[in-house]
Amino acid sequence: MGLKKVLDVEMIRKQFSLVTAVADLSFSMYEGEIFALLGPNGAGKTTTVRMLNGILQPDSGSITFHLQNGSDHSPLSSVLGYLPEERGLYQEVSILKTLTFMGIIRGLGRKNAAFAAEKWLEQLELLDRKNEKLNTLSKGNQQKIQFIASVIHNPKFAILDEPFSGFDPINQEKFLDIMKNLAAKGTTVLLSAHQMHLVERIADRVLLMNNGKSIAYGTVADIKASTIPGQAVSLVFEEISDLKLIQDDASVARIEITGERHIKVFLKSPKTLSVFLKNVAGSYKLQSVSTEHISLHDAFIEKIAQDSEVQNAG
Amino acid sequence: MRDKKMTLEIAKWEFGRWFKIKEQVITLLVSVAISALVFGGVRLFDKFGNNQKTVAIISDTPVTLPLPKESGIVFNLMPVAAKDSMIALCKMEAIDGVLILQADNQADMVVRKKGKWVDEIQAALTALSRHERMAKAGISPEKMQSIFAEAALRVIATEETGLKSTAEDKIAAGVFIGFMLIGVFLGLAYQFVAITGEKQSRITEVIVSAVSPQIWIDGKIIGISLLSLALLFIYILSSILFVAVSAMLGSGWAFPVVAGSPALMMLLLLFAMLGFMFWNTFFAAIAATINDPNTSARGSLIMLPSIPIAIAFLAFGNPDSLTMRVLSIFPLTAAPVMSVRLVLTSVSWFEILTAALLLIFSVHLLRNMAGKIFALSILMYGKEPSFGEMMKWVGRRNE
Repeated sequence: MGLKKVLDVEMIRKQFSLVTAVADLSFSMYEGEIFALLGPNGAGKTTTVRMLNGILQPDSGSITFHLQNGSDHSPLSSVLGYLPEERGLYQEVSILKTLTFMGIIRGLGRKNAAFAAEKWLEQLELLDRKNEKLNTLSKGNQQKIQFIASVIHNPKFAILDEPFSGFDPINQEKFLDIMKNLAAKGTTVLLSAHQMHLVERIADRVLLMNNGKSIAYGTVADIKASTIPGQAVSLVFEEISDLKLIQDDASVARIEITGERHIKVFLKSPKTLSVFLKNVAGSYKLQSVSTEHISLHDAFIEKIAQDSEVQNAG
Repeated sequence: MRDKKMTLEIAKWEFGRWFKIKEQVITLLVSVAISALVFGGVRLFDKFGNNQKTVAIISDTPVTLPLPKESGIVFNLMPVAAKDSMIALCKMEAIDGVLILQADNQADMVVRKKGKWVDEIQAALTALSRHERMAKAGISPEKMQSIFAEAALRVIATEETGLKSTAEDKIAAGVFIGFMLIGVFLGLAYQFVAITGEKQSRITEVIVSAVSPQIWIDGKIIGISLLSLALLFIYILSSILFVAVSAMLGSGWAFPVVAGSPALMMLLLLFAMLGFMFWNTFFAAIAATINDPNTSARGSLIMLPSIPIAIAFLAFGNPDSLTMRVLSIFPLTAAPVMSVRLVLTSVSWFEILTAALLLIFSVHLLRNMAGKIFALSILMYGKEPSFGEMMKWVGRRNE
């Protein structure tokens, strides 16, 4: 990740009738960074992404790219790549022709577009199917073609909405590598995804949205630390037990019931771990105890819960 | 510059998506094959089939009935006494008919079933009778001709009128606007399938993130209008091949005057292209508002272009009437009506230029309106916008 700023989003707002999809959102991105936009359904991620692409215009605020010489509110489509959440390609046209066309409308010459298409197809092991129609491919392979269509022109800035959906775990791993490679070559990647475990492994920084607003913004480690600074402990009981003692423990931040006899306890501070374990061991018949890293998923859930509490209190 | 290049690239893509060269070559070959089969078959039938008719003439005095050279009727003169036996032979299908001549130009014809060839005998008898009466009255054929000769009226027209059109021209004009209608319908169908299909398969967001909706719709309109023009050209070519093959096989058909006039052909193709662009522009905007083509009532708007084509057929009666002159300039009807007038009559350059310029201006105006509707509709899913909403969008200034 470089230090050159490539995007400034300042106080953007978008309203649809009575619904505020995005409310005064601000963030910045840097060259070669992998930046994740996270949030529950309806948080305003897709509206934000569409505004970044120029498909929608913000009602107020500004979006400024610094990708070419100087600043630009609507950069050339040749420097932007976009994989939309709602996606599809021409089913009745051959894969190579479709990808070549996608390269051309992103500013590549015909020959370069065809060359780049073949190169990507080879990398994703689909070169032998280049003359087939898209509808002959499996859903996963169609997703690969869709991905190629969004980055075929080697964009400076790639916006990938749900890039992992439709992939099996092996292909998800492959795409993690591909995205890392893109970033290593200087492409700034903004991704929106629900697979927290994958985002945690790849994202340099994260913006967590809820109800159109930013509720957390920073590196994954910072967000985890600011959301749940303590420790997570997984407990498996020998029998179904009353959790009142644990719930009343002052060192406990939150309990997540993960099974009939399984719970996950989030401690307010790692320093209270030994005292907590001593209390629990004296009061319950335990089958197993394990400490866990706080995941981005845990932080996400906690942050949304905290935000909802604030909303309700307000 | 980049926008123009992109528009052309999209036009090329749209054209290539639907125009399949193999299918067009097959269309041409089928046209040749049908012509060869139909007219070759007729020729073979004429050659090997027995079309000769044998007719017995019952008369005790010699008679010569004047028949055309190509007639297949053979007469056999028989005495009155043989009348009954000849009728019996006719019933037995040994001969085709019996012509019984009587006094005072009266005659009876006995046949098993009346065929078209009997009309030839009627004509021959009338000619014979007229000849005999003229001879009796002492009128020579030359005198008769001079009596019925038309008065010599030399028409000096200050402007050429529609009198030059022949039957071939009228057929050509009818066929041309028929093909134009097919071209319009096919174009609209492709436009409809392309836009609603892209909307349904969620391609739109991928495209509009790369090019502006105006560039996209412009490319589509040009590409699909060129497709309609190419199909029109293929249909004209297949008709020319059909007529050429049939003429080689003795159909007696001739090419209309328009076929030998490249300038006229170019003008016809120009008006066809402008007509295609007019309707494709209109329909691109409509198609973008359709959410589900299976349930939307707006699909029926595809029938609208048949109205100006129907009006164009009225021009066959009097292509130079004031109504047709106005309709050939009015943009909604200009393409088909002007095409008919160009084939059937002489149209002044002023009229041609006015019609073309008005049509170009209308396409431009419609394109701007369609661009706004298209831009807002193409990413709308769910409720279709009302015509009132669409008009509001059109009224907005460009952002």
